[in-house]
Amino acid sequence: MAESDSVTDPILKVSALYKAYGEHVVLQGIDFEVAENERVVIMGSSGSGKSTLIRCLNGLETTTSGSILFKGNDIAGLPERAWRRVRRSIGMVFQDYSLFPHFNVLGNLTFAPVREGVLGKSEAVERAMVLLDRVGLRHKATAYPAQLSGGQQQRVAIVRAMMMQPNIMLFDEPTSALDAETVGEVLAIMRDLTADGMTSITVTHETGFARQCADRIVYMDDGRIIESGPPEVFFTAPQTERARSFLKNHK
Amino acid sequence: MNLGLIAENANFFLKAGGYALVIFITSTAASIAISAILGTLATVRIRVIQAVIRGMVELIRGVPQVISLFFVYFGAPAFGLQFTPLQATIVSLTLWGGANGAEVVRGGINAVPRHQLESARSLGIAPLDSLRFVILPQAVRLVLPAYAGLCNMLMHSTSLGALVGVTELLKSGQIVIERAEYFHGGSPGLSIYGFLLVVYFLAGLTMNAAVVRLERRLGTATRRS
Repeated sequence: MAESDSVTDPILKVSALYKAYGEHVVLQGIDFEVAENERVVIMGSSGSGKSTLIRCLNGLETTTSGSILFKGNDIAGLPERAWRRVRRSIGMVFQDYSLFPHFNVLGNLTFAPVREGVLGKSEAVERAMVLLDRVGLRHKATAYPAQLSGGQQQRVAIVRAMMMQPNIMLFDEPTSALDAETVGEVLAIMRDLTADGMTSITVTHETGFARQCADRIVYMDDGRIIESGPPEVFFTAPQTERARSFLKNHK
Repeated sequence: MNLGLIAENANFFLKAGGYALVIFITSTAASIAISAILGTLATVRIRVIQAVIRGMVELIRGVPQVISLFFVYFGAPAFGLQFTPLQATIVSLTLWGGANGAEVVRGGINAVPRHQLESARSLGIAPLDSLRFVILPQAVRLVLPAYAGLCNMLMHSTSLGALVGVTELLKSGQIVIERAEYFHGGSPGLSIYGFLLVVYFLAGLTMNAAVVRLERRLGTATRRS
């Protein structure tokens, strides 16, 4: 972003990131930076590597080469044990809102922070209730996931990822598994939660959301970033043929 | 039914039932522990471990229970071990239950959706904690019906003890029949085996009721209301 040039270091800086499964190279040298408080939306057709990229940023996929600087420290290639600490600062929400079915909502929210010793039990419950209130689900605190709609489950999953007060939130196609009617409620929550300065990286096909809530769109194709710019530019004057045809198919 | 004969031998049958119960409870408890450990290890993606467990499980599952019992009882001295009939029965049933149970547990763990482990990881939960608090509780619910079937079969198999000389229910029945034939003439086989049939049936019924209760208790939490 123009205004943050040279003033602050990027919170996340990915350089020459490669990821290969055997012969198949999924990420072919990714370079990108995310500034503090920036909301980035990654778009691209399926198979472009966008999900793999976001999963690499949370250590769920190992990288083949390259670096990921988070607050100046290289986190690519960290052992699993070290990733566990990093993940407290980088929250992640998945497509399939995988809440733990045998815990109720409060249990889902408080288990990790309490077990990992980040929060005390009462502190965790207090924070959970505040966040649930914010996503309109305070009354569901003792419900089990199976008793919630898909949209409600995904809202709880978002809150769960935010319990540790991460510096960055990663959303991997958070609305792809939802019915059309509930997509809106989840996007509204994301908009609300990221509006006050939460750094976020979102993989989504929702152009409406990207248009309104992204500071920058990153467009990926075949394991590379081929466009990166503010939404008004990306949606009105895409630079590449691939992006133009992608936009034609995703109205 | 010759109820008089059964009543006369009530204490004898009770003691025999006690042996059957000891065999059942001990081998069930031990095989649950073994199947939990082996079944979990079998899901760890390390080739060598998987191959070793696979081999053990197939070896034991591929052999009839009677053969394995005789092998344990009569073969043990060759390995410098000496089992009493009761011990041999418990050991062979434990091996059988452990091997079959390991397969059930492995299937149950694999049936828990992969993304459960991923979301646990993404929350920074330690691997062993993920297994203990996230994966296993869900696997237990999934395997309960199949595992109950296994326990049922273990209960029935306690009667194999008779073949190596444990005076469990079957053996006690045989003894009572032989004695009655010798002292009174005529065979009370129908009465005695009918009695044993009812005893096993009631035991099975009780166990199934317990399993249903357990399932309901674990299930309410996750069921859609």
